[in-house]
Amino acid sequence: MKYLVLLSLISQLAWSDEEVKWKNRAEAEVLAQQGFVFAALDVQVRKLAKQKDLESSDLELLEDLIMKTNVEALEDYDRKVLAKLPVASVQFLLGREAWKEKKSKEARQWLVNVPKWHRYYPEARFLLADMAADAGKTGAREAFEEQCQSVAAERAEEVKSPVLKRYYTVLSEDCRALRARKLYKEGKYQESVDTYSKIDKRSYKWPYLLLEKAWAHYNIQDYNRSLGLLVTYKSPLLSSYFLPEAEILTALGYFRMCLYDDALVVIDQFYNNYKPRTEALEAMLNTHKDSQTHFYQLMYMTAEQRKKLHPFIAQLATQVSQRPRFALDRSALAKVKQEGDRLARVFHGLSSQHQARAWMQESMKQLEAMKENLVGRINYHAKRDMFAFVTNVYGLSEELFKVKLEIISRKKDLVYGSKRLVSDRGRGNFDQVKRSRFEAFWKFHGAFWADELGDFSFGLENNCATVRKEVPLEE
Amino acid sequence: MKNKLLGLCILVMSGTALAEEKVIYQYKKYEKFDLGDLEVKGQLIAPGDLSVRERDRRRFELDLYNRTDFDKNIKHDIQTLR
Repeated sequence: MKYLVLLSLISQLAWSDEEVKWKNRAEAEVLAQQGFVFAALDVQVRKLAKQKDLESSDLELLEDLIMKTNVEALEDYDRKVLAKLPVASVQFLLGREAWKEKKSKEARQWLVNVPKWHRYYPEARFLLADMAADAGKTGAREAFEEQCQSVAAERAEEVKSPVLKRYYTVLSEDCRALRARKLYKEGKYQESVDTYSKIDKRSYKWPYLLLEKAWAHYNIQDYNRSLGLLVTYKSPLLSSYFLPEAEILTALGYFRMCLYDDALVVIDQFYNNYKPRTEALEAMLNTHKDSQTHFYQLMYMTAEQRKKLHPFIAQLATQVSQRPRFALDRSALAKVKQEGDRLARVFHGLSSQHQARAWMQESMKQLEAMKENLVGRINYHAKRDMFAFVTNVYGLSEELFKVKLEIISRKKDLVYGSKRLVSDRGRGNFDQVKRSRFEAFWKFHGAFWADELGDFSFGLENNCATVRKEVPLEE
Repeated sequence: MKNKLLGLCILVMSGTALAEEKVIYQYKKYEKFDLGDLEVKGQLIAPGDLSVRERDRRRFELDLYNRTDFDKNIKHDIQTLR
């Protein structure tokens, strides 16, 4: 009984302490100390927006709050207000927005200020590398790429959070891929191939970069290697990756080697495979195009829930949801929800005349708005990615149709010229396989081995030589 | 006067009568043609064999798909990063 009385006295004291903490105006430091970081961030930005002289302690607090929340939380604020805040995270955000709008000069001015110790340093270097490449500054591009790739790789080893680890790992791979892509754009296809070859097969980006490497081989007329890379997508390990562009490159590879019948088979298979899938996806998109939550729910369905969907839509949703952005946004959304619930409990625990009720209610509204923004953002990006997929498929099917027309035209030329191609489609031979001294060769015996993925090559002979068609004499 | 005119007429008529002589026409009884010896002078312009000359077909070369860069992929990577 005595212990119960003691316990109630202690809780009453604690209750009165709780009430004393919350003053009549919102204070970012107090909110941050209590763990309400999103609410504190909003309070701090509004406070700094009104001040002319900014104190370093306030700026440090702002930076700390951004690190604990995410930089996207500032996207909804007026840029003129943000431009006055000399904080590295804010400058990164402004630089990235300027980059998206292709305002390179302005973007560069912001991004060079992000220091090396900062979380967003590798990403800032990535954007600077991209802009340097577009400006033709090869030396600067290489320097930025190296900084991005090395620092991102180091951070991936150091951080413990799985979400951040994935973010830095993917960023490091993006920086390495950037180098290969810029070499490709400059027409240095062989160097581009060598750079792509250095990317680890276990990386997140590797399945997508196979297609780009295949394009580089295509442009140096190594069609066998290009086709070999593309056949990797037929392996069971990569069955969930939908890259319609791989089909068109396969058809083009056969076309350039004048294997017209093979090209036509690929084209027909594309229409047969992708047409029903695209129609199913399009029907779903049109039904829910105005929804603010459907695609958000699609991203976070469990595997069991996805089984009820059309298999193609389920697989595409899985592929889209694996992007780092969705993991970061989901983490932020969970934190905002948690914070909102906690603040609501504190609010309801205050007396009706408490001096903090007014601003706390305002903070709760801000958190609710932040939560809706995050849900809307996730929904928008998922919807946009799926719409982009459908548009891409339609665009590529038009290109495939052109290939088909060109094949028909070439076949007509052969008929008119009384000619035929030099040989019928054979199985190929090993003499046609080109490989560097760093590449080994194994024959394919009907099985895809994981370590061989990405190293396949066909051995088809170029069929473009023509011979006179001989008409048999009638007896 | 009349006598003179009559004398002139007699003179003309007698001249005409004196001018008519008998003409005897003689035709060849046999004529031979050597066809192998015939020659035609000129230039051969017709081709020796029958053939169809290919007409110039108008060839439309379609601009087939090719990737010149991966700039869209770079932008997509940044947008899907965070």
